[in-house]
Amino acid sequence: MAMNEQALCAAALGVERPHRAARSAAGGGPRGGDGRDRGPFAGASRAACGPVAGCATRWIDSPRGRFRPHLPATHIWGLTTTRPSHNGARSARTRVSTGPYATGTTNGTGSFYRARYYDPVRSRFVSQDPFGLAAGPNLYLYVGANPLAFTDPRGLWRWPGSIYDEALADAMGRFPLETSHNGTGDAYRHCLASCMMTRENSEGEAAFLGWLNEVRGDWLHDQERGERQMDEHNNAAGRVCGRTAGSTQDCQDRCLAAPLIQSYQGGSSAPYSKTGYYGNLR
Amino acid sequence: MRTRKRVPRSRVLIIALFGAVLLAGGGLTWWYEYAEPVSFVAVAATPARLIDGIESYGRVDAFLVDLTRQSLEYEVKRPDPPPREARRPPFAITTVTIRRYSHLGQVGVLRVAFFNDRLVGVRFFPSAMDAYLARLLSDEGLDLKSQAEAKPSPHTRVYVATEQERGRYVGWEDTRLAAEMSLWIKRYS
Repeated sequence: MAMNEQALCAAALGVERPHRAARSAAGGGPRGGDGRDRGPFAGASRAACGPVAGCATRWIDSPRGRFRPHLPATHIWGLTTTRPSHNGARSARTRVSTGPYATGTTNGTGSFYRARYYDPVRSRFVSQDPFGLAAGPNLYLYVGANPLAFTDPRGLWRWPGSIYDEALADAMGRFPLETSHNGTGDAYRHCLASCMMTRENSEGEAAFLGWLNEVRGDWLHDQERGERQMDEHNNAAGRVCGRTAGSTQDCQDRCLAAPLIQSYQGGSSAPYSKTGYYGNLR
Repeated sequence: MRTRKRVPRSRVLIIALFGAVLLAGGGLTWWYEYAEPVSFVAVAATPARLIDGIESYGRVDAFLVDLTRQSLEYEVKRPDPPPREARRPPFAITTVTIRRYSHLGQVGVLRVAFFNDRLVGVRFFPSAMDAYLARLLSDEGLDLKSQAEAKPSPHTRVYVATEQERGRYVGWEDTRLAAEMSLWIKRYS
């Protein structure tokens, strides 16, 4: 690649990636800076989440205030239960099965789980999803009402299909339709989707899904080498932009300013499937 | 007597997991690509009515004949023919731009787009957007001042958006064809 990836977005915008410690201090979380309150354990919770319910439980009356992750045994929706301690040292412990998010603080009306208040009696969130309508028409759902299949420890993970749809709609409205495949709109769409996914989910997820999409294009559709190179360059630019972007608007502005590859000459390059990575395998 | 060396259970589990992931990925890909077959060239029986009575699914040549009959000047931008056959359905966008088009008392640029020789939508760039939106409300009952889009008929979507180079416009599109185009891009681009 001719240009250093870090320079793809930063050079055009004068943006430097802040040090991790500085980012934590500024926003409290790994992608802080958008003003969202992610709670005291933000950024440290994923390891405490089980693959089934996406939950950890903790004993909130631990004498040393210890946070002990433990897979839930009772209720994935987060009911508060009281039961005797197994060693009898304490009479009872209040266990909060932190279904949706891995930490919570309780008050008289419910529990605050990083981004939203939850009512364990009604088994429902009483505040709206911070993503708003982008997460779906019902603002009070958690991971599309499917906690067995999805987890969202930060309260901010978003279904990649929804991100791609939003990026596609934005690109199609902003650029002439004839540029939506291998043109300016296409370049912008790849950059924007990667930026949004990096910001909202993770850079690794953006890189993996972008790579998977291109491999699919090689294998199933025999796409040209130039087409793949263009998409990969623009995906990389989007990921760099997404590291420091504070909002979707940020991503839009940065992708419009970033030096993207906006076209390639069709027919100028053979597909990877015949000459490149996979050609030798056949 | 030789004893058979037992394969560690963890290795079996890892291989099984890897196989399951591969199977799931293949299944999902198959479902995504083939479960909903779309020809991308089919013409619907009931076109949607767009700006000024222009209907969706119209052919490029027939549309140009109409423009010539109305003595309107236009530019046609046709896509380059594909240099080779890729394993995917056709994706050809033809645009017709009319520099001086008049609608509801406003003169502006009208750009008409065809997806695989089917009229998918139009974009009108009026010279005075606010006045045009007011006329749309009073004459056609489309309120695009307080909301971003309207649906005057089941398959017609009218919306306000901003193009990067040309500025604000009012777009009319057939939602079926727009969805088809989005599907093509998501699957193959």
